[in-house]
Amino acid sequence: MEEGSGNWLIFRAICLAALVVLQTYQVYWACVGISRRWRRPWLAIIGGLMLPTSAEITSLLWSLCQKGEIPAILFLPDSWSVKDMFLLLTTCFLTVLTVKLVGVGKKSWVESISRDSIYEAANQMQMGICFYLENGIPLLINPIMVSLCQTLFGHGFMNGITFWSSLKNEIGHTEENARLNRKNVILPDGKVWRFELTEIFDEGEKVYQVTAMDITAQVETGYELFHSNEELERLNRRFVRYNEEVSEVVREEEILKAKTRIHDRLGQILLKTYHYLSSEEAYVSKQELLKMWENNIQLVLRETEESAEEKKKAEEAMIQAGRAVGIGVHIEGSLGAGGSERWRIFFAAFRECMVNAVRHGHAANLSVAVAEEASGARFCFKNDGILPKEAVRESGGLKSLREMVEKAGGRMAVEVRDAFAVTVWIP
Amino acid sequence: MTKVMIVEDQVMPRQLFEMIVRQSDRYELTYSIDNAAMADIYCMTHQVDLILMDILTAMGESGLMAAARIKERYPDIKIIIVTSMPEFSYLARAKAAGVDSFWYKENSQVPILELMDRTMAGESVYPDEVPEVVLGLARSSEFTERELVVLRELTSGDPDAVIAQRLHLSVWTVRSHIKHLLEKTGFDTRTRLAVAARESGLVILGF
Repeated sequence: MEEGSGNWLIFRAICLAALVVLQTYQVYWACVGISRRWRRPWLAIIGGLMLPTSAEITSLLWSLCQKGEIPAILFLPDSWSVKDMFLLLTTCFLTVLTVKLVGVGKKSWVESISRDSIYEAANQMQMGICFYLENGIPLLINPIMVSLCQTLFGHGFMNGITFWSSLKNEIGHTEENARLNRKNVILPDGKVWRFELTEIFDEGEKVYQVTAMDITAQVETGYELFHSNEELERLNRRFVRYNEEVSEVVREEEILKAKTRIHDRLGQILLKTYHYLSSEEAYVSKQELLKMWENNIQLVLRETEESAEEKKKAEEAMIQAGRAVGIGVHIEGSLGAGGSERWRIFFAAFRECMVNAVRHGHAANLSVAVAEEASGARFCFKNDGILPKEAVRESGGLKSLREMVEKAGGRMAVEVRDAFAVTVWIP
Repeated sequence: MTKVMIVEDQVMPRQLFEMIVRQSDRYELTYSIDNAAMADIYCMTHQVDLILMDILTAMGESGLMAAARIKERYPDIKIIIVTSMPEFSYLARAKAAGVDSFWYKENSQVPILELMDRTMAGESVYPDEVPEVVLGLARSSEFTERELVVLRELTSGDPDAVIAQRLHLSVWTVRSHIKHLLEKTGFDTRTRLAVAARESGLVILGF
């Protein structure tokens, strides 16, 4: 290509035009990207000012080439001049650079959120949202929040501070909600909205965000759950009560079975008696038959003993046990109600004190005092036997008893003053 | 003469045992009481050779626990556990407590007097297995031992977390056992399962 020829001029003009277009494109996107990414709009202005500057630099370089002040590059094709090569290389470099920067600029453009997009997004949200400054001046309010404000207070959202303080005076403000800066409000249409206030910082400036969410479904589910739990609790209480009484039920069943057996046996004896009386050949002897009748009548007659009260029977059992080992048992107070666990501990304590009274104290009397106190029952066992000469070291039975008492949430005290006494408190 | 103590809280069975002992010329009735808690007190000062011990006795006292105490203090005393409860763990617990023989009031093939004789002769007579109980759609033999342990705790009415803590298991393991129990028995709620289990006598808490 000859310098000054028509083709050369066209080529030069195209290259220059491409350079200017590419540079413009490059600088524009680079500036947009930088300004969006770092939120510095003034960078875009500087970029804009750089546009003619970069065009000037290109022209300067071009003129230097024309004057041959840039050294020629070796190994150039014969038909290409240094200027041609410079022009081509500059164009290639700037093209690559432009493509790269355009990519960066477009990425920043896609990733960055503009004020408009924030506003649009806020408007499309299914919840109410607003932002306001410390002095209450609103920055952004979406239509749902405006509508809620209108429904609640009869006017639009004027001031954030006034809005939140008015909201706090609404019904349904609990301590927990106050602590969490939260507020549940029931609207006239029956829907429940939860308002929540959050402090956020934007570039060091405090901004308040109020969100409003429709929690009607959650409240209804929570209400149903509460009732289900209440029902479950009631059933469980009934079941626990049943469990406390079931032992007695099972024992009664056992008694019933035993009675059935006796009555079956009575039926058999009646049949045998019938055969004995009606047939000449006796299957059973008279003595045998009489013995059977005697035994069964005894059992039926003694059945009435079952009616004795459980507690009275227990007291009698204690007195009888004492009598069997030569100790007089004196009981004050009544054991009262309290479930089998309390009774079990009471009898364990009684047994242990009785064993101690016989083995170690050689006592003649054991007094048992039962008292019902506000915190539970108090059992005191005191024997009139020989006092231990040394301090009582709890082991074996006493140790097991203490473990049993403490496991049931009670406490136990062993005293040796005028008499050896064990006191047990059971809640 | 072998001196016998009867620990039975129900009058009729107690009278039956008393009659059996009195009518035998080999046995002598020493005491007949209704509360297992008192049994070892009697053994302190009087000679007792054989005890017929019920498990569910008056005032919620466990005959098995009393048997274990007596065996610990007086190993020479022979003990026969007599019960009508098919609780799955009773046989094993009786053996662990050192009880000499075991007699089911309802199902035993061996008469009690024969059992007493064999026990006093040094034989340990135990039934081969616990009587089978039907619980909902399942037979008691279909449950694993772990499931039965959880089932017993379930009858307490305590929440899963408390049961898990007591059994040293995770809550998820307890829930898994309960789920299997419900599937096997066909009961729709755990409460129904627990009530049926307790009433059947397959699991008895506290005895």
